[in-house]
Amino acid sequence: MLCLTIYIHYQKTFFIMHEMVTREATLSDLDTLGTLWLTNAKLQAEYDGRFCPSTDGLVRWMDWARSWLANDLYTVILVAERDDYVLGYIAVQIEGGRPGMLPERVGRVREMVVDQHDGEGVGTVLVDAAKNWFYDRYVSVVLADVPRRASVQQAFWRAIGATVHTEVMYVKLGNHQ
Amino acid sequence: MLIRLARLDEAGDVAELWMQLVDYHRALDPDLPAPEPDGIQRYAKFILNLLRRDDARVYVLIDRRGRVAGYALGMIIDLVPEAFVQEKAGFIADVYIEPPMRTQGYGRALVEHLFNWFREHHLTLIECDVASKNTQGIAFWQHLSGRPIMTRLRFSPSPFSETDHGKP
Repeated sequence: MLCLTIYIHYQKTFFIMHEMVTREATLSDLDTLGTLWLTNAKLQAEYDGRFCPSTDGLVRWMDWARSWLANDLYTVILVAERDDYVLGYIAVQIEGGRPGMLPERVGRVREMVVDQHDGEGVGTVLVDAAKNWFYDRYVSVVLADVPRRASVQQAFWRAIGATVHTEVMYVKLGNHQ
Repeated sequence: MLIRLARLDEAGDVAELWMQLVDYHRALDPDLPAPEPDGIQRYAKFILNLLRRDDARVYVLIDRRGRVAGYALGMIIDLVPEAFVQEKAGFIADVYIEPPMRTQGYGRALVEHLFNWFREHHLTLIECDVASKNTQGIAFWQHLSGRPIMTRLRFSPSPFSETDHGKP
């Protein structure tokens, strides 16, 4: 694991910072990742009312995450950490493309959560790690769904080179004329 | 004009329309997915499978000559991940009307058939994907009180060469 030590001279005090690294998540990360997920899920519910964590949401999420860690062919959870402190994670998978369409397999970013307090640059590092993972598996197209109202997230994905593909729309039956 | 459920022997006709839909999208945005070389056959097989299932419906528009001139495909799926409050939803995968038949209310009529079927299953939340450059399609859904909630973005993984995060 690459670990670069940088000494910063600031107000006569020396701090030691280590570079952020990424790795595949393990079962021992689940508690930390669960906490990150729950914090983010509550925020996400403000953007999209459909995604309101259920009362046993954290338990369900842990079950889901365990199943992803067990399936190492088509899914992975990658974490970014510095000094053994997890700063965020990205959960990605490979799935079949739409019937009759190319490519036959597409990558999907299912979740990306970054520590709100120490997250600078973490998203980019996670996406780079995910790109590597997909590239190694010959996936040529990756899709990520971002809430329309999440302007910071929208800007982030565009900044890393993502382009708009489709709009996901919904209709509440009973409201239309 | 008639709208009814598609028959098994119409899967090929629906696939022909799907090909027109793909061409329509590709004309709007060349970055949208291309069909596989045998895409029509694959899609026809996909439709054939759906027609045998209870959780999917394909409605077709039959013109005066008895031809299939439009279709709408809907499915019942779990759109919300397990950890969130569950709400089963309807998903409308495709809606297509041949150009001469457009702007006469047939698209809406096809979708209304799907809506009624979703209502029979007590579904109130319906989702669909519309190509971002398909302004006509977006306007169609907005007219049905649809609202965009998510943007699907796309990118290509490329070799990562600047650093080697996390690699030995």
